[in-house]
Amino acid sequence: MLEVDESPSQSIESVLAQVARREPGSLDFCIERYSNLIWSLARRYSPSQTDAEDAVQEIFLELWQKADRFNPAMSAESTFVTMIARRRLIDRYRKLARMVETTSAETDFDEQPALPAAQQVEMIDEAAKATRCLDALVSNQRDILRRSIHEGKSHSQISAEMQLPLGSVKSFARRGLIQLRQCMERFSIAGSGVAS
Amino acid sequence: MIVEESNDFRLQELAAGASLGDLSEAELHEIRSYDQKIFQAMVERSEEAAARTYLTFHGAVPTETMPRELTIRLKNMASGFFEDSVSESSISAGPTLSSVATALDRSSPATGTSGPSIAPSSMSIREIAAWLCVAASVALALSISLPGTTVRSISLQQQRDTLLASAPDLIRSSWQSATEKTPGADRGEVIWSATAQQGFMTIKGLPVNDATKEQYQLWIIDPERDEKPVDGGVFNIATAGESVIPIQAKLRVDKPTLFAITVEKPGGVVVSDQKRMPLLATVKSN
Repeated sequence: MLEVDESPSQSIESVLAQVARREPGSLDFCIERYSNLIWSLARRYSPSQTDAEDAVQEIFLELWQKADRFNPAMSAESTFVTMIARRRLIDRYRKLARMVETTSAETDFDEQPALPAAQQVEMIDEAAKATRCLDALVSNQRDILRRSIHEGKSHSQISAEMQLPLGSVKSFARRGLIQLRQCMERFSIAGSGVAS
Repeated sequence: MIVEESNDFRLQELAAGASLGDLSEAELHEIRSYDQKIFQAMVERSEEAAARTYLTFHGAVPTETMPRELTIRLKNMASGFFEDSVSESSISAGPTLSSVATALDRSSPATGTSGPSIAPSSMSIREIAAWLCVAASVALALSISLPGTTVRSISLQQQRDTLLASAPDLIRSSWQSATEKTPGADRGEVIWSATAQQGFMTIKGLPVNDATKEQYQLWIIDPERDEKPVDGGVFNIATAGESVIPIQAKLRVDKPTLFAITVEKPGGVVVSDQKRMPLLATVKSN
């Protein structure tokens, strides 16, 4: 088995640990650190700006309430935040029962203010590890997962865009994610029981 | 870290589907045949892999900057968060939906349906009408007055006083019992500012609840916003007497017409059956 030091970076102080300790100012710090990440997720998974704004409020509330469940030994903080956010967004998607529209995704972007350097390092480190696993996927699987997970598109949309049968898209996406999970866990960069 | 891999590929496939939000109704049904602890653990592992995948792609493109107005709203929301959870009355996360329940067949058309085990997320017009009928009957039966208040929670009291003193658009309404037929005792009041998106409840006389068995939940009806009541937060009454509780509206509320408190299971619900509704506050139209 390949041995790689994949333990999540602990070089930056966890803002969620500060929230869990109820430190003054920690909630504002949390908002500043993760607003753009969560906003970007919400925009991709929400059909409108209004829905995205509502979702962001729900996500931050849940994040603060579950801050004490974050375990830096299990995952990077940004991963925990993304898990909470995706789960909430998919739940909202279910409730809305609508197609996700990702209009103007290319034109509406503003440049993101720089993240703290240590957090950038953490995210780059995490990304480098995950990229190895993504590179092991066949190109169709990787493309489908990018459209599904990153762009928040429904499998119907992906099917139409890539001119693939819906069943194939579903199968590629699921099996691709299973393969990714297994790869990440082999590299010990994915934990379990991060949030519930 | 050593993670035990499941040999059940179908279990892994369903977990991947749940974390991608693409389970069909038949698959939601199929999930019930599995040990839920094992299944949920697998879903979490899939969700974590999906989160890492998102972050990998996320790092490759510029991201949007959150609107400044939303940042301000979040910071307002944050201002009372710690006090809420350490004061005598506490707000919890509100409805907590399981990962399984988040699953929607995203391969379905836009009008796709949710699984049979999932409560509908919106109230029908008929349900809304039921809420408003109850409110109307209470308003007719009872005279509405604005009671003076004395509160114990200093920090929440200060925040409430600040809002009372500063909000130019303050809405306030007295709580009335939804069950008593005659004008009753002073039950407290609710205040709300649409500008600040902030409000407080002063509640008197609600029974102390056992949070492990049931909790109170606030609902706000703003017909101009949506036909669905807005979840105003789940809270506990820890002591007899009076409590000051901040409102944690999950969505923006501009023109509320009714505030209602229901008794729900711990954690609250997405849709209330309204079987137990101890207090209501109707907002007089100008």
